[in-house]
Amino acid sequence: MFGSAAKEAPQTAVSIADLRRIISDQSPRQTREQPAFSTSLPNLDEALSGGLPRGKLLELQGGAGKMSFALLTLAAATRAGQLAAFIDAEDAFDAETAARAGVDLARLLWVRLPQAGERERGRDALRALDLLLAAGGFGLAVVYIDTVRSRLDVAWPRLVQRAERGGAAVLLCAEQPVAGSFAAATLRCAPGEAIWERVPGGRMLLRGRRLRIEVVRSRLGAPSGAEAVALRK
Amino acid sequence: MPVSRVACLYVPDLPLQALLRAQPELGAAPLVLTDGTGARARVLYRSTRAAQAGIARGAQVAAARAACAEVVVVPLSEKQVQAAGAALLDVAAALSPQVELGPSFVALEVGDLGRLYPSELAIAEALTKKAAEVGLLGRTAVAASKAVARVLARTASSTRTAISVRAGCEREALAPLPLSALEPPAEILELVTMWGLRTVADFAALSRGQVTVRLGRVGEALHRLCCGEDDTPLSPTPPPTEILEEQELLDSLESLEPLLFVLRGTLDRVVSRLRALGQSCGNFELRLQLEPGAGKALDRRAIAVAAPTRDIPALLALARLALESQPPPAAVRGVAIATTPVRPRPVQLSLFSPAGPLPERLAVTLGQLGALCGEGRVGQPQLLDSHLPGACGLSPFAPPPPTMEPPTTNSSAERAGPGAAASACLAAQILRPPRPVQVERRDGALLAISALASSAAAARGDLSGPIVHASGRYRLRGEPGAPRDYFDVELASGELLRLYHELTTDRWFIDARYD
Repeated sequence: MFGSAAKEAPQTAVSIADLRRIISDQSPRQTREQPAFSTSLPNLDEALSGGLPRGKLLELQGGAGKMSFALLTLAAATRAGQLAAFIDAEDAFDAETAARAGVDLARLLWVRLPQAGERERGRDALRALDLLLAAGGFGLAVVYIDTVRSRLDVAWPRLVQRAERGGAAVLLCAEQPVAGSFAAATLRCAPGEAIWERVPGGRMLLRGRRLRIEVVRSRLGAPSGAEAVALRK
Repeated sequence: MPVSRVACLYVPDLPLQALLRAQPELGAAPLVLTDGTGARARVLYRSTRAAQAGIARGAQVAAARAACAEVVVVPLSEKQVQAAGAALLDVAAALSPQVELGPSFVALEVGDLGRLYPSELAIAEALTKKAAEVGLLGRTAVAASKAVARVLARTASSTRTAISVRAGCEREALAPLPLSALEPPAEILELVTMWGLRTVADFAALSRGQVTVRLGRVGEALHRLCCGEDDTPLSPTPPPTEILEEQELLDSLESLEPLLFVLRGTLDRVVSRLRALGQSCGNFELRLQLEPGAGKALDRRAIAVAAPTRDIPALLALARLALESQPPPAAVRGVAIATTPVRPRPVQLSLFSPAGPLPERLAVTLGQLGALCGEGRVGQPQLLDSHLPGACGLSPFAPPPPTMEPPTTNSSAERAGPGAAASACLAAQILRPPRPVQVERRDGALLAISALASSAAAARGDLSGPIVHASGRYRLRGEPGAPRDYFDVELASGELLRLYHELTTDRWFIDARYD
């Protein structure tokens, strides 16, 4: 029986991407009462069915570019009049860059976690997220746990449920996946080349960096979107 | 101009009620208040159950225990009585600005409250009800003068909690009362009793001139009162600037939960007074009286409240967080909470704007986050007036009210606006503290970065390597401390870093990574 199925497989070959698209087309879409936050990146918004969805956990992984993308989303949320929170496990937030990126600092709560071991920082960051989601009223919570590389044993279903109830979009920024399948979508940052400019006198100036962000896994739609963006310094 | 009318709220056995207000669990027991401790202390006040058990006022504690074995003996606490008096003042101040606080009573001008209440009886009922809400059961009388109202309130039966005497009928209202109800001096009472006078009506029937000749000014004043002609003005008591509620403990408390139980009761009393005033609780101070030997007798803690509130669980949660983050250094013998009444913050909600967190809930959450992260690590990011890159501070999180959300469109490109993606900003991930590194240089050009063996960067190992591009230097002046030269560099690994060179010490640091 297994042999016959294997023989038939080449005749009905479909790609994994096609299968995902078929499954996603057939699964019922959850209606969202509140509009999603635009990421300001049209292709990415389309791939996420409108932007960062409210009431969902999203994961952003990759080496560099996470902070820049996080600031984009914070700017979108605060521009919409929402309160946003930045849970900073690395104590790495830069208010000056945030203001330049368009974040309304008056609507931003910065939670600076104490510097501790990797697991403790990850656990404390998600504990802070739990408290914020329980309080309600925040439109977006960004959890920045860049150097936490291991899966965190926390009550993910509870966090997902609280995010759903409070209608908050949650963006987990980590180098490695930490939430796994509890995230509604996983985005990956792939840093590109730096943009240098030669100025009169032969000196070089750093002008920015190219960045590619793609949706690698999604329950919100077909995971096919990607966006290339030039980040300006 | 409205006619002067005075309401007087009388609270019988105020010290006893003050005790029951602080410790309501004693209400079911036969209870006596004494003038001190020990078996020879005298009973000053007794509860109904103690009176039924045969305990008399003035009896010694030993005699009271002999009469009733289960009697609860508590020495009189002046602080509790003062707090109860202040609560009475709060109740009266909620109705009128002209308030006089006396022993066991509070009098207030109510002549101009006709627009708010349908009748004077309704005013009296409202005052009695407000007093009950702060834990004090009393009786209120409204009359033309303070003395008449006070006499009527004091002598009314316990079931009649509100009395109103029409203007001009004070003499008739006082007439059936015994003369002793007016509390005349003992020698005058003895004398007029010898004359065969028993009631107020008997004394009022005398000629005032003859009374003045025989009894002097005191007799004349008594006669005027019997005729309902008292014209003593109110002597206003200034309103308290803060609300202070204290609780002395019979046994010292060493663990948190029992202490929180006591704090709950204390907060309950504070909030009931605030409610009577129509105000809310802002920042408050928690004072813990400690056992001797702790180095200090009083532990004071200022507890910040993000938004004025009357939510007791929220206030208790803030007190709990303060105590958990820094437990008291010794056992606690007494607690006190002091706060200044604050006007509640009005919030105009909108159907079309995003709802923010409830202020009370936000205050508790900020407190919990503060306990998790440490003091001064949770708040709103603040740009500092500094040339140093990465310099920022924190201020208390006080978000502005929600604004109208812009209308959504179907196209994300439209929502983001033209060129939004192009304006995305290269963010800096600040390294706090900056990581010391070694920089290899030749002829002023930066060649490579290597981490110091002892630094955290060495463990991470990804912030070192040959430099492929560099820009700089940008010298920053005018900062307190050493001048610095800043550089942006790109490593062969693709990492973009910001370096600075401390000129006075010739040391190099990475202070940011472009992320």
